[in-house]
Amino acid sequence: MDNILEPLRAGIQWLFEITAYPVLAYFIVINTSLLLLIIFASVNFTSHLRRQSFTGSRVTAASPLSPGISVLMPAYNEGAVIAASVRAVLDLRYPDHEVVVINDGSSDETLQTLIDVYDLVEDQREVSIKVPVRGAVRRTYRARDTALPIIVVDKENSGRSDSLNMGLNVASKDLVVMVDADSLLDPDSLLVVSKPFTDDPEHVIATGGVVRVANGCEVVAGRVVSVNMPKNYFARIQIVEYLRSFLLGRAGWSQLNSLILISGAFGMFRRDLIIRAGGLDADSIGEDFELVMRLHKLMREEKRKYRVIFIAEPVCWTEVPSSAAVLARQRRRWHRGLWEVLTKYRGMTFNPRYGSVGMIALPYYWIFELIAPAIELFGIFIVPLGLLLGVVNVPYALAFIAVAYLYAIFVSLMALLVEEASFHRYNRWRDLWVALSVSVIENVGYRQLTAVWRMQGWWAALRGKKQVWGTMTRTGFESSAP
Amino acid sequence: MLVSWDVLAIAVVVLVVGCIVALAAVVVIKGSRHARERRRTVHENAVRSRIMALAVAEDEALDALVQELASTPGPLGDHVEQTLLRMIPEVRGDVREAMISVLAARGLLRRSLQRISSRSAIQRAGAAELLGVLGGSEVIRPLTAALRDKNLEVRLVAARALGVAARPEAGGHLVDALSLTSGIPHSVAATALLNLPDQDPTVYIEGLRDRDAGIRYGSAAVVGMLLMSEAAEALFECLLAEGGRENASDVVVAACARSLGRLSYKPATSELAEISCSSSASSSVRQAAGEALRAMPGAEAREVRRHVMERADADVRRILVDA
Repeated sequence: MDNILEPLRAGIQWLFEITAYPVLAYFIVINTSLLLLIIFASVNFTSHLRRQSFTGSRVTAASPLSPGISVLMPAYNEGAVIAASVRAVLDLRYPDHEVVVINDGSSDETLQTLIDVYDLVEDQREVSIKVPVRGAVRRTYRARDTALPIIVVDKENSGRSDSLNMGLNVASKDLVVMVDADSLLDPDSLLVVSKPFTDDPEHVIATGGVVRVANGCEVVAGRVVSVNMPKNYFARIQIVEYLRSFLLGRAGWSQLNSLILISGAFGMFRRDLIIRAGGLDADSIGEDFELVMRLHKLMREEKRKYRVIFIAEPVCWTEVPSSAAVLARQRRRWHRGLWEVLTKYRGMTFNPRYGSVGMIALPYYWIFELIAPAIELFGIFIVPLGLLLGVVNVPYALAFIAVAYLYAIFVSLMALLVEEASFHRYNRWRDLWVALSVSVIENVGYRQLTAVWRMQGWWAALRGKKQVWGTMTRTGFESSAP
Repeated sequence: MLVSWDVLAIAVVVLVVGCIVALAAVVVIKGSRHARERRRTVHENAVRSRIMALAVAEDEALDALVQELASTPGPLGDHVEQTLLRMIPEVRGDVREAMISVLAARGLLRRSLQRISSRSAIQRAGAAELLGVLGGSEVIRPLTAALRDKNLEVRLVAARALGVAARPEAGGHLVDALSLTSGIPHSVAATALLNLPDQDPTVYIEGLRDRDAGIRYGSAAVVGMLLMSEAAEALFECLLAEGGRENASDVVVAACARSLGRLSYKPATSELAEISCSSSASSSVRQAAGEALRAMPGAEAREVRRHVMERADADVRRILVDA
């Protein structure tokens, strides 16, 4: 037996020796960079909050000169929510916006519901195809009452990106917003997210609104009226996760003018630029990420001054997966999308021609987003093995793990601190205790699970396995009165 | 050993202390915010009835109420100011005047006038916003001065504030603010201009002939929005002259076209038809011309539209098909 164990022990010992310092450095740098992003986000939030009294949103809301916005809403089998979603978007406070619903070959009553509720008639007008689309258009509709700014495109099923490309062809306003049919938007969301375009029309090319977790919230007529912590374990953890990575991480990148990812659930773009860039990549899993990268590339190559801005104010709420199976699908898809986009734009990485995007943001995503699960799983595998074989000193290993997880908990606490000092959407004490407890609990089990799922996504991408969009099983909100 | 026990122990202690401090800070911030909210509710209950009474009080009762609210001291007084500032944009007429007089009597106007020369750009922008809300002739000079502030954000807030203050004497300054050199987005300055009462069309006629494309654009947009038919001819001249200009701008042509459509200026019909079918014009200009054509009344315009439908691109046809 010793004949087998001894070489294994020596091998593990050797593995520890060669990986210990790089892994230690990696772990310190990843958490420190997160901490730095949180500090940059704090600067961003402070600046945002100090300017809240003079945002001019009231003036913009009443101005006939505010830039028009086309809200693109792809819908696939959203019959249960589509009428309310469209109503909620039509009711948003903005002087000039239209809704373009793209029915992506739904097999349920999505189209008929829209026809009945909004009294749609067939639209005979031509559509000029500026961005190529795959799914054939069956019919387009508009409201009989032409004052109601809604256009519905009924097309064959061809996926979200292709549907959005069709929406771009039909849209008529200068700015476009891409939203999911199940997204819940705050009443002033268009005003808030379009403000950078109004204030700096020459340079701002895209803005992303923060997407928050709607699970547990009380929803009335398509609006979040009361923000509460959900009861579900996975949803609770995702709240802290969204806070740390999405809200604070992206606000930090925005402050550095290196934001490369705008959430597909709520992003606003200049329509002319997306069309010039060729629309969304219908083959990409991370089409939102890919689009922003393409715009960065286009602008940097044309040597134009531009800005991509993240808006930290709550604007969009979405239901996150509350079961392990759905969450796993989502994380596999995200990681696969990350891999695809990063490899597609690998030429920009560490390329000074692309400024901070090429020199900071992309290397960060490669090293700390893409590779992170591999490093984490390596640790999960090697440390217990080392303990088992007696290669590792147990108290030392425990102390080392304590430092690793304490740093991660510290970063989460800092994220909660910044949220509490800025937007403090979770008002109750109980919500705070829940958030604090999940900041600790997520380190045991959840983090490791997500690392496994992300590795699976990566593996699927490397094998070239065809990606299929899973069904997002929705559990609904706490209260959904009409 | 990777790192010494001492280093590891120090790291654990530092992180535990860091976590405890962060936790304590979260609790303190949340606790103090809740305390502030409770105090706000108490203040709200204390002043709400008196503020609501402003809406219905008359003559001596109104004067007394203004006096009482103006002299409310301490945190309660601050709450009165915050509540009134929140309400003023929502109300009109005598009630608004009464609210503004309370704020002026509390010294808010004086403080804002001082703060607009502060060294902090945020303070100056905040003061400009308040001066716009408070309105009156005395705020125009400091606000127009703020249009030339070294900080763009202050200039932008000042332009919006002049629109909120809505005094006709601000018109010339706002037209100047349309200039490309001001840095203020055209839509912001032009929106402010739309709010001014009793405007003189000659200011815009001159603006349409200005060398600065920003001023031409803003003047064209405002003339159309305010339906200034006196400026229609100058608007058409601006449209015709734009192509020959050194700094010709698509946005000016598009704004002129849209405004000519709003004014239903028939002599421009054939020129708009040409533009809407021109391959040399940009897509946005062709569409603006198409929108203007759609708005033109009369049989002649109908005939022109029919011809345009045969020659124009799909975007323009899409616009015209309803007309």
